[in-house]
Amino acid sequence: MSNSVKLLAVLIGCLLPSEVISQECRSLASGSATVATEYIEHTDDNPDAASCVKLAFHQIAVGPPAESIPVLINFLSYKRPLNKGERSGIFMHGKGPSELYPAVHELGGLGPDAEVALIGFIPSKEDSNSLEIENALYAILLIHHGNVVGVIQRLRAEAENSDGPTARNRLKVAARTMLRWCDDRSRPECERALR
Amino acid sequence: MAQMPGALFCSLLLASLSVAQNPPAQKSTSKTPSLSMPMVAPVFLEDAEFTSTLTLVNDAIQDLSARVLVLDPHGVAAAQKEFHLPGHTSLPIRVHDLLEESGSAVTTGSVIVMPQPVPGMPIGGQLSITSRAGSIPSYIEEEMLMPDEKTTPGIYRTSALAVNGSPIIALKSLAQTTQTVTLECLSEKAGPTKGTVQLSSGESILVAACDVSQTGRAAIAEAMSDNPAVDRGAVGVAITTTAPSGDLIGYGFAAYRDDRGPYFTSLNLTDPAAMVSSNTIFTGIPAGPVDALLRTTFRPELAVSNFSSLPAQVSVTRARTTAGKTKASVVQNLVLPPRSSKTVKLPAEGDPGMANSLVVHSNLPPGEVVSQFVAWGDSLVRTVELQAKDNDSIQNGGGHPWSIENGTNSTLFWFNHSTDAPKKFEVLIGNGKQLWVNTYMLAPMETKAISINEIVDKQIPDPDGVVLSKDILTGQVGWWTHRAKWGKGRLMVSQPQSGLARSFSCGTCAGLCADATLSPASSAIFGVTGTGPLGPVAFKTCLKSCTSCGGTPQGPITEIPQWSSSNTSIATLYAGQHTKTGTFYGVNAGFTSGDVQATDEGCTAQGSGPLTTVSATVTLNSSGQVSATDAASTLYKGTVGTLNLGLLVGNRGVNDGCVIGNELVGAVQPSTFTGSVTVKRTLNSAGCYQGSTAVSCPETPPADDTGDMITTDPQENTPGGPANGHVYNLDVPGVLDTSTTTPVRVRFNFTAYAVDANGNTLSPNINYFVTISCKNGSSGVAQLSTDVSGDNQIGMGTTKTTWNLQ
Repeated sequence: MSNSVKLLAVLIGCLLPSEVISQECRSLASGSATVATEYIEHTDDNPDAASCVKLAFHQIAVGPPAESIPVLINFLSYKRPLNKGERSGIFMHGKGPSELYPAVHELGGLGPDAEVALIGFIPSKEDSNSLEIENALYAILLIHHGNVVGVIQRLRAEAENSDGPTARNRLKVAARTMLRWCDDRSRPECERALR
Repeated sequence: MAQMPGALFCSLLLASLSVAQNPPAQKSTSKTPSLSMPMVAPVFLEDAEFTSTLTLVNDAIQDLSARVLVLDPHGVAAAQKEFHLPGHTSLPIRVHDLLEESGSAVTTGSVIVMPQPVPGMPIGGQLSITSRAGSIPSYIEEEMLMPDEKTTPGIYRTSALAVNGSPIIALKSLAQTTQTVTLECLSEKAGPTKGTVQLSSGESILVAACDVSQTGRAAIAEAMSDNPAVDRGAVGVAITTTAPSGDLIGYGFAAYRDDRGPYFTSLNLTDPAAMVSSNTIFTGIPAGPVDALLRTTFRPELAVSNFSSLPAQVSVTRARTTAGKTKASVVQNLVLPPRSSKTVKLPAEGDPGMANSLVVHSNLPPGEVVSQFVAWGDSLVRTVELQAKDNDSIQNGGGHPWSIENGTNSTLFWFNHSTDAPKKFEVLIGNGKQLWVNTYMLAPMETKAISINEIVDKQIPDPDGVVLSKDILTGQVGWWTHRAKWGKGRLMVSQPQSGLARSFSCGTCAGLCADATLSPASSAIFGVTGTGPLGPVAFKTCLKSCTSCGGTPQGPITEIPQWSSSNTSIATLYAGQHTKTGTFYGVNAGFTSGDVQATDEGCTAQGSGPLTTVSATVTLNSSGQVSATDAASTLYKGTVGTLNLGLLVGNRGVNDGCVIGNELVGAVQPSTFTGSVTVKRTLNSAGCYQGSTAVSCPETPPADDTGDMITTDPQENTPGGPANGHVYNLDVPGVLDTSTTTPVRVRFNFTAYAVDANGNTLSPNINYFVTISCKNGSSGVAQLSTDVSGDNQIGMGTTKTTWNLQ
C-alpha cells in the first residue's frame, strides 16, 4: 500500500466519511494511475465514494493504453458503489453493465486498442458465462457502438486466426454468446455471421 | 554556358556515346545513359606528375546517381562507372581509381558525366588536377561544362595574365565529323599569332594556343619548364571552329614557375554568343593580407582582352565591405585598342575577410571584352583565381561541394551587384543527413563571406534550430537569389598550408517549387459558424531549367502565403491570410477546399486542403421504436428489453421500474460526411424526490450525460440499412427497482447538441425534459404515480424541477 493510501486510511478513521472522500477525489484528480488503482482496491460500498470511483477509473483510462488497458481488464468484474440517488432507485441510463461496471465504460471508450486486448483476454477464461467475459463482450459491443454483427464477425475472424484449439473454441463460444444482443432486426445477419 | 535545347543534346548524346566505344569489362552494371544533359571536362591528366579528381555534387534533396565515363584522347571509353549521390552531398572520385579498376593505362583524355535525368540539373561537377612537380602542390581547376547552344561557327574566348610562352588549351570534340579549329593569340607584349588544328570526331587534344605546333603532354612540359619563352604579358585567346559551338568543349590553363616549382591558373572559355551583358563579375577577391589564408598577401590583377575591331572603354569597379560598411569605387578606367590585351593592376588592399568584389564594364557588346582575374600570393598560396561571371547570367544560384576535413576551410562568398536595394540570398548547407537553411540580406554592392567551418564548429543553429553535426565534415552547399542579375556567389575551399584556394562557382537556376504542402492540418472539418485551420504551409525551392518553373526539390524556403477558399458559400477565410496557417469559417454545410499559394519571381506554388463544413440538426424521438438504422438499438434493448420508446413501466428487461426511452437523432449535413459525429447531452437542472422530500440525484447538474448507447458514424452500415448521415443517442432515464410505495420522482432538464471528433459544435441546442413519478405497486411491480398533474412525460422545452412541478 502506498503512503498516500495509508494516509487516506488513517483519515477515513478520523474524519467524516463524506469529507474524506471529497479530499480523496481531489487528490485522485491530480494523482497517478497507481494511486487510483489502490484507491479502488481499498474503497468500500460508501455511496459518497461512487463518483470518486468513477473518477479513479477515468484516471486509469487516460494513462498510456499499454498500461491502462490491462488494469481495466483486471477490474472488469468490479461493481462500483451506487450513489445516493441510485440507492433511491434513480438512474440516468438504466442499469446496464457500462453503468454499473466502470471498467466496462472506460474500455468501451478506449476503442480499437482496448478491443485487441479484450479479444486476447477472452480465451484466458474457461467459464464463458463468467462476469468478466460477459463484461468484456459488452465492452467490445460498446466499442462497436452496438453493432453486434460486427462484433460477431470480429470474434469469428479472431477464432479462425487463433493459435490453439482452446482459444479458437472459446472465441467461437463468445461469438455465439453475442446472439443474445441481436434483436429482431439484426438476428438474420447475426446468424449469418456465425456460420 | 547557356543550356542546350532538347533536340540538340540528344544529338550530342549520340555523338558522345558513339565515341565512347568498346568500354572495357567492368563490374558495375552497364546502363545506357538516358536523356540527360552531359557534363564534360575536356582534359584530365593522370601520370607521375599529375593526378585528377572529379568532385560531383548533388544539390537536390533526393538521392541521385551519375555515370562517369573516362575517355582516352580518341574518345574511346577507358573506364566508366555509376555513382550514387545521396541528397545534398558531394563525392570525390579519383580518375586514377577508375582507370585502375578498368585496367587502363590511359594518362590523358576527357571525362564525361551523365547525371540521372531529372529536371534542373541538380548534379554538378568539377575536375581538379593536382601537380606534384614542385616542392608544394599546385592546382588546375576545371569546371564541368555543358555543351553550349549550337551557334555556327563556334567561337570561344579567354584571357590570361602574365603569359610566358603560351597558354595551353584543351579541346574536346563532341562532333561526329572532323572540325578545323583556329586559335589566335592577342598578346600584350608580343605580336598576334594564329594557327589551326584538326580535331576528329570525339578526339581531345592539348595545344599551345600561341604555337599550335606544340601539342599534347609535350606542350604542358614546355609550359612548365624554365626554358626561356616569349614574354607575352596578358594574352587574349580566340578559338573558332568550323563546327557549331555545341560540338566543341574547350578549357585552358596557363603555367608559371617560381622557386617552389610550377603552378597554374585556369582559363575558362566563354562563348560570346551566350553572353548577355557587358559587365563581368568577380566575387570575393583577395587583396592585401587575407585572414583565411594565413595572412598571405595578395596582389590582384586583371587580364583584359578586346576581341573587337573597335576600341573598348573599360572600367573596373571595386566594392569592398568591411565591418558592415560597403564602399564601391571605380579603380580603373582604360581604353583598350581593337584586338589587344592588357594587364590591369588593382589596389593591393582590401577587406582581410575577402569581402571584396569587382565589376568589369565595357562599352562594347557582350563577349567582345573578356577578362581574367588572378590574385598573386606572396607566400603559402601562390594564386587565387575565380571564374568570371556574366552580370546578367540567367543562372541565379550555385551548388558546391564543401569540406572542413583535415584543416580545410570552406567559405561561401556572395556579392549583391545590384545597386538599387538590399537583396535576399538563400543558403542551404547539407551534409547528407541535415539541412541548414538560412536567409541573408545583402546591401547593394555588398560582399559577404560565410564560413561553413564556423557554422559547424560553433554549432550555430539555423532559424529552425538545425545545427550541423560536427561528425560530418563534407557536404554540399546550395545558394540562390530570388532573381538572376541580383547576385553572384562562389565557394572557396582552402588549405593554405598546401597552397590550396580552390574556387567552386558552378551555377544553377533555382526557384519556387510548384507544390506547397500542408501539415499536419491537411484538411479541416468544422461546423457552420465554427472555424478550422489548414497548415502550416511549407514551400520548397526547386532546381529548375532556367526558363521555366518547377523542377527537382532542393530544400525549404520561406514565402508569404495567400490563403483563399474555393467556395465562399461553404467556407470563408477567417484569419491568417498571409501566415503559415489559414483558418476557415463555416458558412453552409458542404465540401470545398482551402487554397494557398505564393509567388516568387514568376513561379507560383500552390497547395490545397479539403474543407468540410458540417452541420447537424438534433431531434428527439420519444414514441414509436428506435430508428432502424440506429445500431445502438442492441444496447437499448439489452437495457430495457424492448425497442419501444416513450414511457416504459413495469418489468422491463432485467429490471422493474418506470423509465422514458428516448432517442436523439443527429441528421448530419452533408449527408455523405464520413467523419465522426456525436450527439451529446447535458443535464442542466434536476430535481429528485421521494414523495415531496428531496433526495440526491445521481448526477449533479450541470453534468455531461451523453451515456454509452450512441452511434458516431453517420455512414454506418446497420442491419436496418446505411445510416445515411444519421447518428443517434439512446437514453432511458427513470426509476428502477424501487421498493417503496412512496413515489420516487425525477425532474430532468436536458440540452442536446452534436459535435465533431474534435468537440466542435455542429448543431443548435435543443432543450427537452423528463418527468417521472414511480412507486412500487400493490402487485410488487413498479407503476407510475399520477398524483402530480402533468407528470410522467417527455417533451421539448423545460420543466420545473419541484416535486409537484409547480
